[in-house]
Amino acid sequence: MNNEEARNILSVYRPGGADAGDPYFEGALKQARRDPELAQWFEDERRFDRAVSEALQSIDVPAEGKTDLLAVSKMDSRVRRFPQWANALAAGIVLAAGILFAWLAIGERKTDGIPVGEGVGAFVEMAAAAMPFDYRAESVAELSAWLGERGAPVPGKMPEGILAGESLGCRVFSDDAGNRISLLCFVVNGDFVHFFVTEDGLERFPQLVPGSWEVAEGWNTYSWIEEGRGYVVLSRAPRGELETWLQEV
Amino acid sequence: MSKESEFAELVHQWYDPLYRFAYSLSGSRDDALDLTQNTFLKWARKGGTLKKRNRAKTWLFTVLYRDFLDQARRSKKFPNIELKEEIFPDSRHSQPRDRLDSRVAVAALSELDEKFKAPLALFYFEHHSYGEIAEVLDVPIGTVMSRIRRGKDRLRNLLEGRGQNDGKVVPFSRKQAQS
Repeated sequence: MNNEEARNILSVYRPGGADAGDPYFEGALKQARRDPELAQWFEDERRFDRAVSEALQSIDVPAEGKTDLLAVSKMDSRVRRFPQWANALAAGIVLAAGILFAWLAIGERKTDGIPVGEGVGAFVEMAAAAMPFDYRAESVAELSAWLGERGAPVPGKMPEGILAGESLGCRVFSDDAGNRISLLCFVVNGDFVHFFVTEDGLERFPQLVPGSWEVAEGWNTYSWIEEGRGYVVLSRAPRGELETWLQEV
Repeated sequence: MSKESEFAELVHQWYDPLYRFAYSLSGSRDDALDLTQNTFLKWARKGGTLKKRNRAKTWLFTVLYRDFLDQARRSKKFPNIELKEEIFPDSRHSQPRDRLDSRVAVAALSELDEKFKAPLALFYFEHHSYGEIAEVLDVPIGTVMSRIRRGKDRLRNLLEGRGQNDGKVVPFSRKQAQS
């Protein structure tokens, strides 16, 4: 083996790699120990590799993505503690719903702009961009305080059925004119519920008919106006359950 | 082990390496987050059916890599554009010759041809054997090694060339190393 051949082999040698003990490298390593010129080249190559490897291994990893995934995983566990979800079939449905939600929420796109749309489609699109949340909290009061501090719409009186669930986090959407919509996310009896709040009713969404139900892309949606604020709720929970949770609206 | 705890364990074990792999391919934090999330969500949907649990690592990296290729094909967007303006630090702040900033490394990778990026990243992360890298990339081991060799040459030239052309960092000049 000449030095050129040895260089070829040693250029893909990783002392800490899974193949370090592979016989493929044996002859070239021996030659590098014998030949000072090759040894110098190999040392330089290793120094380069170490530096690139350390640089790539030091890439900062944002905590939010991992937290979101683990939250989804934990949510599935929590859901199973509800008596009505105790049977395996229901749990499976919840798991599938969770995965579907997360897929829609995380997988498709990220946007913090209010989508162009006059109807419920705009809210479906925002629901798909719910994660990662701008802020996480396990109480509506905390979420509201956070939203309020940032001048984002804050929910007024929340339906008790929604409050009975677990709050996950919130996200704020805005458009070029400075209009904002707050999204608060909950798990209620194992189903995800997206709760949107606007400060100026629902005039910007003329296709929405406040006080009526609509189904869009598998989401049951309901919208209403109260004390000047506009509210839109999206969930894949059955409409009957949603009606119970929203009964005082 | 329940599915939830198995999933959580996988996330704990492989989230960081997968994110770093995704970031080294895409050069974009958001794209890397999306790619990594999508990979785990696909695992939640499909990966649980794998018969051999010890194949989870290769499965995850393979899925992420294929998603990256699909995304790149769809969008025709190569995010090194977003990195170029901020990556290469001024030579006044040059780094020790045997150290390299992660942003510089990723920026240099992003300028390489697509076929070199993934083999080099997997080579440097050292999580995979050559056999596993070949499986992730769906090419023979010989091709993997050849791409790593050629990719490393280009990477080194790129880093050296930047210093000569732009007055920026020159982390790895062989001449300097030998002097």
